[in-house]
Amino acid sequence: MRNLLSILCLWLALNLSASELTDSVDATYAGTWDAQVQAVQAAYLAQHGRYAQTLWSHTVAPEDGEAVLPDNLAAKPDDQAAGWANLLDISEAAVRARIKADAYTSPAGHGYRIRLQLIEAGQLYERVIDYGPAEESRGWTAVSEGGGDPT
Amino acid sequence: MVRLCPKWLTVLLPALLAGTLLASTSVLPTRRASADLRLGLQGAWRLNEASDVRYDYTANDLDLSDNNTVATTTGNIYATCADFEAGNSEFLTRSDNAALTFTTSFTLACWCRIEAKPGGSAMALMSKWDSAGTTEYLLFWKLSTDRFSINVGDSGGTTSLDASNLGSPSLETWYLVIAWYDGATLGIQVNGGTPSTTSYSATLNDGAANFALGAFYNTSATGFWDGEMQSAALWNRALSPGERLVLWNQNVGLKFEQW
Repeated sequence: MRNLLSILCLWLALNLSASELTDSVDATYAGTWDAQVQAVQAAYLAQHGRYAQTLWSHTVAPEDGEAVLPDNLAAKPDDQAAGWANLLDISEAAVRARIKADAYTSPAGHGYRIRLQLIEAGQLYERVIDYGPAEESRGWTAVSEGGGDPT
Repeated sequence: MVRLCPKWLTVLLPALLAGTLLASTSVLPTRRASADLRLGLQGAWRLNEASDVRYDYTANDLDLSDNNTVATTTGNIYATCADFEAGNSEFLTRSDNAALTFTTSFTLACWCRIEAKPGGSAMALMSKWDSAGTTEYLLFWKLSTDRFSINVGDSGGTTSLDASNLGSPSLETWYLVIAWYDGATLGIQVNGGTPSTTSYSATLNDGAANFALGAFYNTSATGFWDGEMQSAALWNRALSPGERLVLWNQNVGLKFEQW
């Protein structure tokens, strides 16, 4: 019965439309991660004078609505002591998108961007949430992975 | 003799003669460039800051944001230079600005050193290029040919030119890479060597892509540079062959303060 429910949940997830899937990820992010990420970053800024950068939580973006446990939490930039594993415990959270933080310092001050990525029907989608003076937030956008390579 | 040649002149004359001789030598560029190098200069970044914002030397004040903490290391023109780690997605950027768009002519120049050639298709030096939006110019190292290369975009598509005369750039070696367009010719030259050129005549795109050092855009930043960079500058005109040689200055280069 339990296996049947799991299969049903997976089937439902795999049959979400792209917009339903991104809405679902947005709801998870707003309800669970947003406040935690902001709190962690505020603490990091107070201690280090800049925001933390993290690498992708998953080496490959989750596909077609499947909730996947992160597999890249120990990775970190080679000029920073902390990565996801030291900043925010998301090791048990199976999610439908991978997450990354890019930190920046602009002439107007410090900021960071959270990037969310998922794959739906073979297409990579990305959302950017900018917490800082650059204000470069962007809604879900199809990204041509590799297709934009210059020749 | 003492009256004819006062003491200040005995000191000054050899210096004046030396300066005249140096300036008149056709093979060696003058150590101090003429003020013309500042003509049409739109942005110039020493990249010798320790971290954070990289400041524009020109009055345009096109200071660059530091993304993911571009580091610093020993430089060639200045004591220190910017050190980009591709694995950390490090790059410098500036939002779209009219001073950084060139539709009829330009010159792009920067000193660079490659730490590693990655598996990705390209490592960008200087760009205003969004593969998913509007393409303007992209100065980069290209994996498929293992050459420095310049790409430009117009309404008909993109045009690419490799610095074939240099061949494969070596690791851990400083290069001055200069690309230009004068309305009739697209060219690229490395270390004052024989330029690679192609006939090209079009009005270049004017788009909204961010300007970047060490990356280009494909919606988000990609094509990260892995190595060092120093003295990056761009002009809204094509520099002359002599001006390009002056910039190289026999592999010594020139500080902006010497322009």
